[in-house]
Amino acid sequence: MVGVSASGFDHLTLPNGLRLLGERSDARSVAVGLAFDVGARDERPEEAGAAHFLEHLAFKGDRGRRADDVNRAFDELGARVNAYTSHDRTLFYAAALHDLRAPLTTQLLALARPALRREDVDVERRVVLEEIAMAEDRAEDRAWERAARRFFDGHPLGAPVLGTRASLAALGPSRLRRFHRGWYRSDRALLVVAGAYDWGEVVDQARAATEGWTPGGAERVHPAWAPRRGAEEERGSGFDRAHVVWFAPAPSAQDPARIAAALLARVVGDDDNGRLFWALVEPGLVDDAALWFDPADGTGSFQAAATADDASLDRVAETAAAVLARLEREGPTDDEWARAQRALATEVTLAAETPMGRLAELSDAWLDRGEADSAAETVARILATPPTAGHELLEDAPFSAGFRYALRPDAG
Amino acid sequence: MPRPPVDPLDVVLPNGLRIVAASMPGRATVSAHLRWPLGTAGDPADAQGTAIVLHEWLQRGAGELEARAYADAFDRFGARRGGGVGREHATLGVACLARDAAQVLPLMADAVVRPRLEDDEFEGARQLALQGLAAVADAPAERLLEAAVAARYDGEHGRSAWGVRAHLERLAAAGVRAAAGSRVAPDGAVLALAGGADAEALIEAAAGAFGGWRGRVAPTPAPRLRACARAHRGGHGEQTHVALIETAVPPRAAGWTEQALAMTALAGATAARLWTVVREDRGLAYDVGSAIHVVADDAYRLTHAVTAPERAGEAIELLLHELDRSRGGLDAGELRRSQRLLRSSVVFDSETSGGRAARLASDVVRFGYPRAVERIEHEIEGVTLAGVNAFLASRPPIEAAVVTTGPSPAGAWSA
Repeated sequence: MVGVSASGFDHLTLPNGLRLLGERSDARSVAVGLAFDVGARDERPEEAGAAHFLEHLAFKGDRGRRADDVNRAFDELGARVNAYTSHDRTLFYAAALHDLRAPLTTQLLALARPALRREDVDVERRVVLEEIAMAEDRAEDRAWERAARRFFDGHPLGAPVLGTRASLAALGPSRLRRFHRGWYRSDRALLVVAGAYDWGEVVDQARAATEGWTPGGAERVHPAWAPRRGAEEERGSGFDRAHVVWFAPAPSAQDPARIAAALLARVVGDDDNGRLFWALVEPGLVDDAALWFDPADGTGSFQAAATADDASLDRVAETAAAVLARLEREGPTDDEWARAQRALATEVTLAAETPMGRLAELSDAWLDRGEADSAAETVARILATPPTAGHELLEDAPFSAGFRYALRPDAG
Repeated sequence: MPRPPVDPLDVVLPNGLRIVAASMPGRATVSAHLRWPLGTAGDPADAQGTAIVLHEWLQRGAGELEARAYADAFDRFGARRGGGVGREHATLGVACLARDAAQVLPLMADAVVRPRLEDDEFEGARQLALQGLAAVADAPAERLLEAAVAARYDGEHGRSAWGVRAHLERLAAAGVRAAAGSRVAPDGAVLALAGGADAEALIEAAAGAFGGWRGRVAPTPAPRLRACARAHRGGHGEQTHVALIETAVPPRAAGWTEQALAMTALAGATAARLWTVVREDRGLAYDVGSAIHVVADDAYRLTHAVTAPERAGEAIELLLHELDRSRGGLDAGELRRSQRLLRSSVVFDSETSGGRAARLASDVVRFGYPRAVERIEHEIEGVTLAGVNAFLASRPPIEAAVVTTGPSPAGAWSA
């Protein structure tokens, strides 16, 4: 069953449904990622924050091991290890030098079977509450969260990944176990390895470590949804500046137009030569302005954020609206498009210099589309995407259907 | 296949610019990292923020190209730019495909060798510096760092890294342009190059591009330490940010590598002591850490945690206790794990051309010479348990400045 695809990837699906994917390279390190197709969008209201909380609790130990045992085992390999949770996905990842890599896969897979002891849940809840407080203290994070909730208007992509204080308080071991049983199944998981791995070793460890894993469980829903349009603002306290966020509809992670969307985002939102940069940053209206494309499972969005003096907010909003309207009217120039292509190609090449830099790209591609490209193939796709693809995207006038949210400091 | 260590190439141009280069066979990119002594600590006392405005202005058009054409020229190669200004130095960075390096390096050089510094571009650069300064108010982590530095240093090095609003508001193009002559100069500058190209060819290309850079830089004053035991900067927010600052061993002193290993056991490992006692055992903070900061010949350790005001006092006591406990030494397992972690970390960071170039530049500034990755690994592996513990035992009792920002801690550490 061990196979190698046309692109040179190792890949295999175990009888329990766990997918394995490998991309070899001439590196001194090995990176391993364990991705689950579950995130904040899959939580019911009473489970809000569960996926992120479970990501924390994964490091608190499985049956027979405590947090310190888990952490120390990674340290013995000199491994860099971490995890993140998004709306779509949970990714645990680790990298080690080739000569120390041997048990890395086994250890990473063990994270997926946390013991969820009550005392660990109670201590870690305090950590997550501090994380929520930290995000609350950063006005730009607060603005982004509020903007997302409004733009996605009832769609689960608008829910905060961290959950809320109230939802965290209600997440005890039994509710977490139920959520875990429903979603952290073998057929929702992908084990991805990159760099100087030994494929036979990876397969053997994956088989042994996931022997008791079962497929099935919950299914993601894709509710019908209409993005909110227009502009809203609120006043708040605890900050001095106005924080403004824009959202607009965009292609999904599965849509072939996703590369054109990434290029279009760069034309308008490249943080040192995009149209917004020249309209807002170059004259010193804001200290930073970027617009990016966020492809999610089934639906995507363009997102942008900037911070300004409260007195300049209207001018910032009007200027940005004019930039986006002109882009929709005239489209990108061929020269802008070519520059965006080269910039994106360089970034893909830079990210591919480390095995760790490939994990997110590979796991997203495999889970969202069941395929993966090498960095060279991605670069070729980027360079082969014509400017007409950008013009086609703009025919739907995505930015006219966009939403703007501003969080402004209380007057006085 | 192990390769013998190849030391990076290291040359000094007649104009004083130091260039170091390392070849990374098989890499598709080349990164360049330029670092020179343009920082806010060198700004005139009544014009703080000059360095920030100048650094921005330098990049707004150079050589024959006005601002936009200059940015477009990098983009045509897909070259990615970076850089920033600190209290002591400024950086400019670029990453591009290896095949384009010989054409991108001259573009990069133009920012310092042939900046246009046009009047039309000055106001935007000045406004941008004002925006950066204003943004610090809403950035709690940056506010803590500012307060910590002010507690460590008197005078120039204790200033804000973002300038002073009143000074920025009255800066004029003529004054900043005049400052460029003594603040954008090749002596004291380091250019580090790394990536998938022959190191000698990279140096040759860089020498051609930067060889015409002229000028002598005015020296930055040496940092002066301040006696400060407790400081608090109030502010809004839900969380108290805590920093403990104490003197550490600087890079050229004996014990630097031992200190790095002890720091890994304290704060760099997944099972690091601070992480375990603050986060795993008590759930006191989401964000806790400790790092060595180097400023000229001075080094200090900054240990931080972010927590609720009512728990901040407990966090401070716990951090002080752990810092003091570290003088008691590591066990054999801790040293072994720290050595593996530090060695991995050096290799990981050197897998990218950008990471390699940044480390080469920092090696030159900190140690006076660039090191091969294998050489750094060897230094790490050469530390013995007796050696690291003798170093830790020789450290003085902890005398940390305790700095807090945001809401005041409750209880004994109340501001």
